[in-house]
Amino acid sequence: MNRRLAALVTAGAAAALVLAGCSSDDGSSDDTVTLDFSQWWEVELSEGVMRGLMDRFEEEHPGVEVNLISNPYSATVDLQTSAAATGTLADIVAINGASVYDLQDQGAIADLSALMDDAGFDPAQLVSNDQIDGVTYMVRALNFAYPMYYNTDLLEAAGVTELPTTWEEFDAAAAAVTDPSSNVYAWSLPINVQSPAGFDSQSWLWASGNRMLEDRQPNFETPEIAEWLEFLKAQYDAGYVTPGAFTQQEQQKVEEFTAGRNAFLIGSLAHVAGIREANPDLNFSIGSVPSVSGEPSGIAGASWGLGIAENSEHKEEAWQLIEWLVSEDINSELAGEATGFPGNASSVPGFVEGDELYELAFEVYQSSEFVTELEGLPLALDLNRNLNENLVRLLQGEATVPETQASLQEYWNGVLSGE
Amino acid sequence: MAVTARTRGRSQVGQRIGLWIGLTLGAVFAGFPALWMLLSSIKPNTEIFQFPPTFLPETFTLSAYTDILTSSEKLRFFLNSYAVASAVVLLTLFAGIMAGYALSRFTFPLKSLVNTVVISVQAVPPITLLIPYFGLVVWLKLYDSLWALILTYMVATIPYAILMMTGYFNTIPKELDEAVKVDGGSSMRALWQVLVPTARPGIVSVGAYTFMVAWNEFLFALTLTQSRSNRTVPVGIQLLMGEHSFKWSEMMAMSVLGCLPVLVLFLFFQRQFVSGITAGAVKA
Amino acid sequence: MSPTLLVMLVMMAVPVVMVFTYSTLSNVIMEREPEFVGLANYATLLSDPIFRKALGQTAIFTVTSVVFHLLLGLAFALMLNSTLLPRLASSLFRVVYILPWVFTASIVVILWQLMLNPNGVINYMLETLNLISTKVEWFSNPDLALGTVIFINVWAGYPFFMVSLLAGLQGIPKDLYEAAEIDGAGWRDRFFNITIPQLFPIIIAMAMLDFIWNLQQFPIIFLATGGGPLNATETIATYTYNLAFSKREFAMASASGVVLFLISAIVALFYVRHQKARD
Repeated sequence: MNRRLAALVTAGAAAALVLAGCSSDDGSSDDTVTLDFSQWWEVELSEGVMRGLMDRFEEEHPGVEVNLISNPYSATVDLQTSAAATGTLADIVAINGASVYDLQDQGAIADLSALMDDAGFDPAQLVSNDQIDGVTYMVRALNFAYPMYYNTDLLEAAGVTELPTTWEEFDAAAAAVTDPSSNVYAWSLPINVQSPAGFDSQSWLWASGNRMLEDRQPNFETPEIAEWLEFLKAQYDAGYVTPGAFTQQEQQKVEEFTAGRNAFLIGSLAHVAGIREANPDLNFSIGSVPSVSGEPSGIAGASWGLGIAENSEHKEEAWQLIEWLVSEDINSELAGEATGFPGNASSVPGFVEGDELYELAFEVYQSSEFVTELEGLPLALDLNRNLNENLVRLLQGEATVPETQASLQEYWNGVLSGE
Repeated sequence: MAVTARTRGRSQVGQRIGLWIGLTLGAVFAGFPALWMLLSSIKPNTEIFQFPPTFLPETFTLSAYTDILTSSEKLRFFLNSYAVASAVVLLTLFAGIMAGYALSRFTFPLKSLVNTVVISVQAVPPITLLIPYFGLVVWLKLYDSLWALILTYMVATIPYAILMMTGYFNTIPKELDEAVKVDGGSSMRALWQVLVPTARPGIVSVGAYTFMVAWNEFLFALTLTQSRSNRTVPVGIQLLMGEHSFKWSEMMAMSVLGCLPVLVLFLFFQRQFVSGITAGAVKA
Repeated sequence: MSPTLLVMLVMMAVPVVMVFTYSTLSNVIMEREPEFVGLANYATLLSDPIFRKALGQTAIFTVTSVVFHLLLGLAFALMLNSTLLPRLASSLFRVVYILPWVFTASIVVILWQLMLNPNGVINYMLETLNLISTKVEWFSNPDLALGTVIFINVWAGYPFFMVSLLAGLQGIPKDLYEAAEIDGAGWRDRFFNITIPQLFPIIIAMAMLDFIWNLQQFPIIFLATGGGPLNATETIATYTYNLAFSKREFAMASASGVVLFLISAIVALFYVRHQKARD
């Protein structure tokens, strides 16, 4: 017992030493402003990229230091809500369009329009300037387009020689490709409720030029929406969709495609590098999501946005960092690292040139409208959950198409009408 | 006499076979997922999703392990987790033993109330407590320190430790510690010289539980710290689950690396389970 | 020690009191100046059919989990404690049996998601053994989801019982068994007349604690299914999370938390009474 006790005491003493070491980190010099920058990007990019950028910013802006805080992507919104409630939100916060409305509603993020004015920044330099009631709260550093990926080997083996451009053609291709006995399905439709991400259902609607909303109000009871829901249901009922859709997650969907078990994938352009690295033998290409008419008109997208905490004591310096990140050269560099499209209107993403796939994707991106229907809406995440829940009910056969439309209309109306 | 001995011998063989079958089935149930984790950690990402699945890796790689072991940032997660968990175990055991002794051996006014409060504290779901608790930690100037985590886990484990220690002390006959007092020893002597050594298996099991709580907790570890130097292993694992893809093998490897020392520690302490009360002590 | 105790008390009590207060206000955290609304949040909550469904499923989840935790924990503890087992084997088995315990919830879920994926190893083995003909959707089938989640929770939670009961078994005086054997008692008699009564104080305390903890089990359910599909695995904990962080109804979430608290308090009350009767 004594030996064990000694071991315990030693462990305890070691613990105390470690702890003592931690609490004495505060001694930075008085004149330096330290900006906390909370984001999930550092782990998405190659190791050291984000820190390298910050080091360069610090060099160009003496007296300002940046402290990078990495948080897991899935916990971003919850953490920011809690941090804002306790006044500990980092000076600069990476946000996306799904949470920007709620954070400003909570009074957590600062009016960027005013900061832009003070700094003499012209928002026309940006690709888009999203506003809520005439005020900018988030600047998009990068946009991520969600084109359609094709497994060319699977299509070839199934005798599909031309890429489908209409829903009808897609249906035929899906039928040809799907072969449950060899475990191949046309596509995956992750509609889980724990972490709704991706645009696997909405892309079809948007590609056809139709929308769920009109003037930020739900508009679900239209023939176009009915046609869209019927298309999804027909795909599911015919067995073209990989099993497990109701709880499948974004990352699992990508693994199905990478493993060569899905012929199609609607996913962020950021996946290209990952798929190539994970399965170098996979032959795949990129194109538009098929539409009703065959004329693609909209492509789904997500963003990496930046905001400034209302409780920040260094808003001016924080804005300097944001301005620097969306400046022409730095922004195209960031875009290149993340394979996203720049938020700065004059930046050119360097990765596009010389790579056939990226060139294709850039073509798709430029020929279609960039659709981010859910971004900037109140409770965007909750609305997305509700959409998925209604889709599950429809696909499970517990609701008809008109019932689904009515149910969506009612719930979304409840959330959006009070706006 | 000879007949009973033989039947007993035969039934012992039967029992032995039954025992081994039962234990093996149980071990498959308990261990297969962990084995799968170990195997996944030495496969490249694509092979993890291959169908039909491979049991032994076709492409053997230790890159997930080298990635972790060569990163001082990631090693720090392990150090933090061990520091927090050890501190919580020591402090919780001390509090649990003292309070458990009081509740087991003495009656005092408001005893039921203390019991009820101790239990109720952990009856509010952590999710609802998160924001008020977070505010309190900021106000106490503990935000982003390992002390915040230690205190938090103690809030969660002390009530449990008190209840369980009370339970274990209750199974020990009162005659044992009364004998010490008859000889003129104090209550504290009775506690540390008789009850604690006798209840050692119980103490070890409470310690094990406490360790696991502190070791595995994620929600508060994520919320109450922000610097990389204050992150623990569960948060580190979550950081490998990105927006676009998960680093499956590395997540598995981090989990394997994290659990190895815990298992060694358990192996080291588990003899305590079999060296509990002796028959002689009870007769006394 | 006493300042620490004070801090601990503050940290235990203050947030609980705040949650109670929140539950009687209009939407806290989102509103700058929330108003007192009395029990209105509770009325809204109880009139929601999904909340009532979650309540029922929480009961199923919790009771089943506790029962299986106890049964498996007891069975494994008895086997590991057997004198028929060589010491080395017993040591190794013990380490294998506590494995589920040493992993954090997100890894537990990820691991089972990998294995129970329609293309995962479990379906593959069942297919090879001709036990299933189509791919089973363990999480996505609303009829199976709750069972699957409970199974994972049982796997992850039984070592707590096992370790505690293993410790408890050491405390049972050996001469009790010897005396019983001389009286000609079989293993059944010994189990029900000695083992169970001797372990009873520990079992009752653990069952109550496990009940309270499982009532609030959140990470395993949420990470596995998020409460879906079609609310098939919705429990009060996931429902509360969605209220707070998806719908941003923090006052309602607090009310939901208090409901869970009240259920736990009833259980705790029975336990305390039982303890009192014992004194």
